[in-house]
Amino acid sequence: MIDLLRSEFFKLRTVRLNIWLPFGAVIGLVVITGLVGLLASDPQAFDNADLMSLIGGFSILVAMMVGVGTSLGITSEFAHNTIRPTLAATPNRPKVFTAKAIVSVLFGLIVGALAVSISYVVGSVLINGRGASVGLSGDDGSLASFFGVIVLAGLLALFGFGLGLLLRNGPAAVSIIILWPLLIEGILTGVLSLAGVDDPQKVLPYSSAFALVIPDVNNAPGGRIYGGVFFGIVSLALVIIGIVVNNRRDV
Amino acid sequence: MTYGDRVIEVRNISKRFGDVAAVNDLSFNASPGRVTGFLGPNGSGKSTTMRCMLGLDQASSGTATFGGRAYCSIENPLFEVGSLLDAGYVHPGRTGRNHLRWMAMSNGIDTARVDESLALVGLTDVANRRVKGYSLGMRQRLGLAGVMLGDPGTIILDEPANGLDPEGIRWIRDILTHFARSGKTVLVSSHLLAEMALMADDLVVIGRGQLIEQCSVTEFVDRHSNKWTRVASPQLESLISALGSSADCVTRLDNDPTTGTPRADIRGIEAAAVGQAAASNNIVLHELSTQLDSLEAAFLRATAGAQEYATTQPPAPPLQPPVAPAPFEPAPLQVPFTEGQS
Repeated sequence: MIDLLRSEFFKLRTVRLNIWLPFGAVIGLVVITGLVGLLASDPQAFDNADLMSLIGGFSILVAMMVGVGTSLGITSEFAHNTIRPTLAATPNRPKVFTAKAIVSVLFGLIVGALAVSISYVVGSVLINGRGASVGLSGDDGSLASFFGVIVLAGLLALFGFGLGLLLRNGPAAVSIIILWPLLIEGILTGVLSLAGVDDPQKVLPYSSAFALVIPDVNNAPGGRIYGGVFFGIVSLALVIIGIVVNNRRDV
Repeated sequence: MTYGDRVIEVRNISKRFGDVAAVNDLSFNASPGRVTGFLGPNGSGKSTTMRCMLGLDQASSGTATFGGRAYCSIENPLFEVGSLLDAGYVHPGRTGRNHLRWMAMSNGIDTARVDESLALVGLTDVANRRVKGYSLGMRQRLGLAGVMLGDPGTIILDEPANGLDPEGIRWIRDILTHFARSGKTVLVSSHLLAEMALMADDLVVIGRGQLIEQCSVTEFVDRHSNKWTRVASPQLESLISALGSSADCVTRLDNDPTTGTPRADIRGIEAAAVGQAAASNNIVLHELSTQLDSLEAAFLRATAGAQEYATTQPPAPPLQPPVAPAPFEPAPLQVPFTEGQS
């Protein structure tokens, strides 16, 4: 399994698009945080939670790009038929897809860790240099939010991989990753509210997962742990269904 | 690994795509130490059979084993079975070396072997170039480098000579023959029948997904080709008279271009009998040989009823070549004459 994990990680990092998409988003997050640190009109009023709210909010885009990257990683295998030499080299399909899923999550965790660490360092150095006193604290949720960014990137990587494996179609998988939170869950929230469901966001996986990156979880129904576990179960279910479906399919 | 571990056995494989039976109850063997050619017209099910053998397509029924084991049960197959189904199955954005490196890593093959394989196929200089910049021939070579990574005892190739230049075709013929002579089992499909005639020891011929014949190349050509005797003699007419009615059909050919000796093809009589008749009648012979159809002619005859996409004969040329239309010559401009004009 270790050989297979090494091989899959090598495959993921040797295609430029898989790297540039999420790391481009990381650079974007760092630039935005830096600009806010430099240009904030009242830096002394900036506290830990403000900085993490800023980073957490924009990190959702980074996590989405990670999901896009992992979904393109698997769908491009089907598009270019490289899945055939992959499965010819390792005919045990569940083992191959499990290795790919693990590598996707690790990739997401690495990108998430880099995104939140670099942007936090850049943001706090710049804002503290202008008289603020920002640091990570467990009291205001900023520390949990810091780690939440990493977890969300890992979960969205799994979600993107699962969707890609199930659909085997890059444009469809990418569209769903981007449109699900912006459009589908927005519509569902409205529909569920009209149907009289309390806290409709609680039954919507993507929206629930956003609680991971918000310092003040009082606004998030279900809370941080619930959101992460719910979205994790949905992502894992997608991967398992994808493995079962692809285990007998012709490739 | 023993020779017995390298036998490919395909037993009663069938594969259906909806209502279409792509492969129907197909069984054959490929033996170690021999190149087995896998022949069939377009759409006969060769590639589907190979995909089923490797577990990439799920056979509706039947089994394929490599030394008694199904491909899917082999832990690190690159050490035992090297396969190349299509040279295009490479990510265009990855370099040739990186393509081989992930393959090597997946089976725990030392990555130093990657450079050895690249050198074997002559791609060392372009190893760090992205595959999208490779020609079809270079992709074929890259695919073959992947086949050789684990130095497997069994090799399966689908149309490996596609896109190769004459030097490449000769190279692949030599390397596959070398593999077979060193005890490996080689199963190779190809449309290049002249190449197959030079390379293959055995043939598996299929049509419409069914086995037509499995035998050696010599047996196949013997069974499906016409045989006749060619003679060249300055006393050709005397020889034909001496043969009398025992020669079914005599076709007179143009005289030998170098010696000017009259020549003929004679059907219905063996070369030995012609030689005997010539000796009995003191007739001088400059040439006496048995002629056989090519593998291509034998293949076309054997698969005549199994062509999925048969073509029609091209239309006969017109008796008179078309006459080119006369060049357009504009009529001289008529200027009406009017009185008073100068």
